[in-house]
Amino acid sequence: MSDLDETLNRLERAARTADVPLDAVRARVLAAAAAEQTATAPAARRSRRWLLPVSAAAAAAVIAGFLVTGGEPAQQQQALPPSASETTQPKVSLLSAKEVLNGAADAITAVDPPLAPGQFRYINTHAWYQRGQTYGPTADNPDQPLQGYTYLKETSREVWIPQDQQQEWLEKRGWLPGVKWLGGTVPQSEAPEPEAIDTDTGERRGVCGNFFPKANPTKVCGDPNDWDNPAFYDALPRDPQAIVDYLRTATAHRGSAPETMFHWGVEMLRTGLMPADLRPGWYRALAQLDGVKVYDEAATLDGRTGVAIGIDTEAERRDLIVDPKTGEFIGERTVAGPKPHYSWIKAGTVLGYSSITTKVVDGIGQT
Amino acid sequence: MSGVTGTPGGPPANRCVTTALEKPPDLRGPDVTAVFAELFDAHARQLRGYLAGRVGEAVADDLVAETFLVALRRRHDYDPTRAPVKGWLYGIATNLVREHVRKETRGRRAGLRAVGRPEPDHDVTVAERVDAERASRVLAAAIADLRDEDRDVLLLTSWAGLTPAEVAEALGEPASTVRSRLHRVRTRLQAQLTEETQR
Repeated sequence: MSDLDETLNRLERAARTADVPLDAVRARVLAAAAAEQTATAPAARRSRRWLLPVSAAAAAAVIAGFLVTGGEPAQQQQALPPSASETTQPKVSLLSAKEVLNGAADAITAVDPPLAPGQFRYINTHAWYQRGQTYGPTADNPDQPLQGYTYLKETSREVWIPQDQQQEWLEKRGWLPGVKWLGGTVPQSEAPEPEAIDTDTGERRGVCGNFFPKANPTKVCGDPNDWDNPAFYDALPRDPQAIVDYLRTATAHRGSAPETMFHWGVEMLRTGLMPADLRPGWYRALAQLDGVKVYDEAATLDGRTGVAIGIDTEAERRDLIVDPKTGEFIGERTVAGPKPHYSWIKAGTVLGYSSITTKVVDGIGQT
Repeated sequence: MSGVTGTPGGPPANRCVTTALEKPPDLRGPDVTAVFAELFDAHARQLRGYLAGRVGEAVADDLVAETFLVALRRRHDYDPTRAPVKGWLYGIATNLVREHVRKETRGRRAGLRAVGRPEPDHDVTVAERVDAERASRVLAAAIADLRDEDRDVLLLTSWAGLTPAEVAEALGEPASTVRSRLHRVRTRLQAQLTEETQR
């Protein structure tokens, strides 16, 4: 048997340990630094092209602004699941995203009932994610562009969090039957459908949500820095402006572009752990971000319909889907922009979505 | 905090180095040149090793320079109170690797380039060497087939010596996501390695 770390350490070792002088590189960097130091207004320079977020966040180089291509809005009214692989026309609603989000914030009257001893917070995430392969140029065809294919795959994740976090938590992952072809540089018949790997399925238990006990560093009970822990949300500010500031700081390493801040805001809603008293401020904070627009007045996820709000970028757009009448967070989706990451993805394709439901249950494993 | 300091001349690239910067650098300060000289001396050697492994020696130097030039342009976005600079720097480098692989790699399969050749080890027997080379081939192919995000998490921890928290910083993802992804990738690769090399 070969040890993974030993083998990893052997790969490309000569290149990785080559003791070449870096003087020329250093000189180049420091010359640029010196030029920057003497420039008249260095602080104002911003180059959004760099530091592209790797995930759905804000993959685009430049905010594309107002995009209206074509005028068939009818597609948008369809429920998502049956039409997920179809494309939605970029459409800009007459509704103001700010009004919708602020209205949704006003509409939240729910109060989270405190969990009684023995009760559990139950979170169900029904999600479709991209799965596929990409491969680059070959020796025979050095100029060929990136190739590959993409499927959307249906999955589920259920979590039971006990009132006393030091008790056992439960997580169930499901590999559901749905699979949709989004496209590829090869025909679908030559693209194997995604297969579940060990962490796509199964039931795991652990106190404090420690479902992977060998993971390093280990989970800490009640960790206020862990998005998967309710304590994280207790520690967040409630004031909208303070939340905007928090999102800006939290995404500073990605440039704090509005679309990146919005993405993080949606990701935190998506955990299903955000308490009712935090959500109004959260919506109002997202409403303040530059470029938020309503893209679909009736987006349906698993039978629940809401308004889809997002910030457009060239490659893709992240939508938050919220019920404006109750303020309920329904879920989120990602829609390809005019220049998707992969050549085989059509603009407007739904690239993934998830629907989140939560409730209080009386026993572990109960729904 | 550890008192060990790195030296510009540098330890081997694949070893985890404790940075010479005892406190996060103030990249927004007025003395840009001095701050970047210190930043370069603390991180360039290890970064060069990581990038050479990912994209080959021929372009590694350019990507090292580009990483620091991007950091220079974006230095006002770095918040020293929030996170160590290392994760931020490797986040920039990782984006550049992806850009490079996506758009500029010529002459061979991009994913394989990232993990190309096994290195001969002269201290072992012929049989052991054959096994090791076979394991390396299996692993190189398996890594080439990984999704970008899985490959980045694996190699940032293994080759660059980043902690999962630093990888989370580099990739802009929650640490819990990085931890579970790393666990999943490592388990899968170890299983593939065991299966293929025992045949």
